[in-house]
Amino acid sequence: MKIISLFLCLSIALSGCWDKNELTSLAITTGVAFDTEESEEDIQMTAQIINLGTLAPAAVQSSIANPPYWNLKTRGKTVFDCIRNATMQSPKKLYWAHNQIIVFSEDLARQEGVGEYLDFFFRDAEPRISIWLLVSKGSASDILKMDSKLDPIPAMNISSLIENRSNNAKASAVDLYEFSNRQLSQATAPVMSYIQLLSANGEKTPLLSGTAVFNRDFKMIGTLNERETRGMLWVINHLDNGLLVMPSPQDEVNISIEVISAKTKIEPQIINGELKIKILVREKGVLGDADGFVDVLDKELWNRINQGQAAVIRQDILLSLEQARLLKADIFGFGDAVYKKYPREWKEIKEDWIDIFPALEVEIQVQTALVRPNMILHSINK
Amino acid sequence: MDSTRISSNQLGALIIGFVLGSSVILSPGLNAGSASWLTVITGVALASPIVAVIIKLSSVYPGKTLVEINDLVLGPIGGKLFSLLYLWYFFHLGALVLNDIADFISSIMPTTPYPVFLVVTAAVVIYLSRNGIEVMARCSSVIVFYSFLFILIVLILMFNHIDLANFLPISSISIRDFLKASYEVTVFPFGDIIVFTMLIGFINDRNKTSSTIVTALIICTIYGTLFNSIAVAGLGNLMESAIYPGYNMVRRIDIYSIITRVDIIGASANLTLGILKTSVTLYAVSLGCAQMFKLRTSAPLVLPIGTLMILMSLIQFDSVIHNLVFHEKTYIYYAPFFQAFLPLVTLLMYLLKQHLPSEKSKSVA
Repeated sequence: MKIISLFLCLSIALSGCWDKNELTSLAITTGVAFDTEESEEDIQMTAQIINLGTLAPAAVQSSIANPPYWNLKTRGKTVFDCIRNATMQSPKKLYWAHNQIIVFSEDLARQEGVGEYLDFFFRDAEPRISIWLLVSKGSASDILKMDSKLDPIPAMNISSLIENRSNNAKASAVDLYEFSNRQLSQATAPVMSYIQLLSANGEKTPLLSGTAVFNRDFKMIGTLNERETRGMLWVINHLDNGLLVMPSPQDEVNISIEVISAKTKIEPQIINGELKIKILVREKGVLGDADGFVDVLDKELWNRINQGQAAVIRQDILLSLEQARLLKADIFGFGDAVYKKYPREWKEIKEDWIDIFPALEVEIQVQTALVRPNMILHSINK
Repeated sequence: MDSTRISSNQLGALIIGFVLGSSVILSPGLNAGSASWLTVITGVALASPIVAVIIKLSSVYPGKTLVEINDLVLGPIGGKLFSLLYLWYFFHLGALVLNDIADFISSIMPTTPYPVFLVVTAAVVIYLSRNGIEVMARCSSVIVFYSFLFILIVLILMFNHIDLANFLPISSISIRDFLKASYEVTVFPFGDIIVFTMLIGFINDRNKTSSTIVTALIICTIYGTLFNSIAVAGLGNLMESAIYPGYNMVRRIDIYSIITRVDIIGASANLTLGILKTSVTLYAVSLGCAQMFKLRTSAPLVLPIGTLMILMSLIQFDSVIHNLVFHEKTYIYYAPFFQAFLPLVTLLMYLLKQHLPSEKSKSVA
């Protein structure tokens, strides 16, 4: 009797629940793209689904005709509507827990704004808050169709591309968390990564560079180029690697300095009622490469190279500042820095911030250190 | 009251588990912006009078439960009336916690029918309560220890998402709003410990009663402050739009893609602590009923009252939002009546009796 009742209890407790998800009944999405649609009300969505059957090791990959993914195009009134409409075409239900990227086409981001597209990804329990956000030059669904090298699935490829952006420091990386954190802040303008396709020899490969800048109404208002992006990354403390290429102070020689650590402080100051922003950058770099002779034992020259890298950093920041002023977008979070330090004064200027920001006086202080010339003293090309 | 006894450490663990109970799910006090980390401390400070009343009542009537104290202080009729109000509150509190648990799980598993979560959770709760206070107390040491450890691990793993600038500005909201947020912490979860007036009498070393309660509450305060600080620093501006900030934190954990998607740790800690809290309230109601009707034991009452609790949770709210609005708008005015007003009346009546010894001796004569 006891055993029978035990079995009965276990049959209830161990049989799982309504919300069970079997791997065989799931279509795992890795990326999603939104494009503009002719009719204003509809949303056009492309979801990239992993085709588990054909996901073979790279060596076998070439022998399989079908790509290991399927780009499913659907439309609907809302994002969730699109996702559920997808089940009219897909035999398996879309599963979002492993989604890596959301791509918006530039047209959509500029004309409609992305506000209505993001709610689902926060509200639903499946997607993660660490999904990367990108704006694509041209069609967004084309990004998911690109020729993916090294990784068979384009969305995973782009996700790795973003994770490795710190090596070049010319592209920004923004996930749902950071985008929303900027949007919900006092005055900071949200940004997204910017991606485009390079075509050569009939192959389309991605190029992740620059930044798409949004206003506080979720509409894209402009872009930052590579150098301006680096300027922004310095200020918002998101730069941890990257190269500074500059002419040597001595000869016609280009040298590149690898950044090994960087730390920035934004300090707002109110002096005699005048608001002023002070940016203090502390950077450490190593000499990474010189295409001519550089006498590293010359202390004077070494100091001048060090000053040179400070000048490059200052120029980066000035360029991005100029672009931000032009766009009237506080991409650096100056407003929030003021709010954090002077909450009372901030209340008075908050409403007019968009007009105050471009005229703001900004002082940039750069402290750099050039720590070592790496493995050799003198170049071999004397 | 029978001869069952629990040690002071077990009582402390029960209190910690109870206070953390559903508050790890709903994380009260996080609506004070960047000052949210402070609300737990001010909340406890505001709750200290309630704690003082509880300690005072238990020290003047050692070994007695609130129902017995009511009878002694307010006479058989007035005492019964008071006890009935208390028992209603304990019963309702249990049903509310069941709702919190079920709401939380059903937002992760949306298509599973809601009653399933209620019944499954309540089954464990009833089983635990039916076995009596000694079993509950012994379980609590284990449950609280592991849940505490789990949550602590989660908080530590948040380290790479922490941005200390989120603590600025120190005063992002007005003093009034801050006090309101703190007051919410006072009512839920700290005010809820009025339930322990039914359990304190079981302690085997009565000299340690007050020190146990105070120590347990200090641990809860430290923990709550730590929890809220990490929520402020780790969730940033997104904190206030999250229904379950604790769970949102767990979901953010990502240590270089190696330690990631540890949601289940947070969810299981939420569940076990919530179950502990509900079983304490269920036990309190059953014991109170048994004492009111002078039954020998409370065990047979646990199942029917537990079933009523499930039904109460089923009918009281239409949706999660209804529950949240009730918490925010109604509960903070409704609960203090039972948490502060009634105990205070009982205590005042007791003090009055002390100061009118002649009448008392007359009535005895």
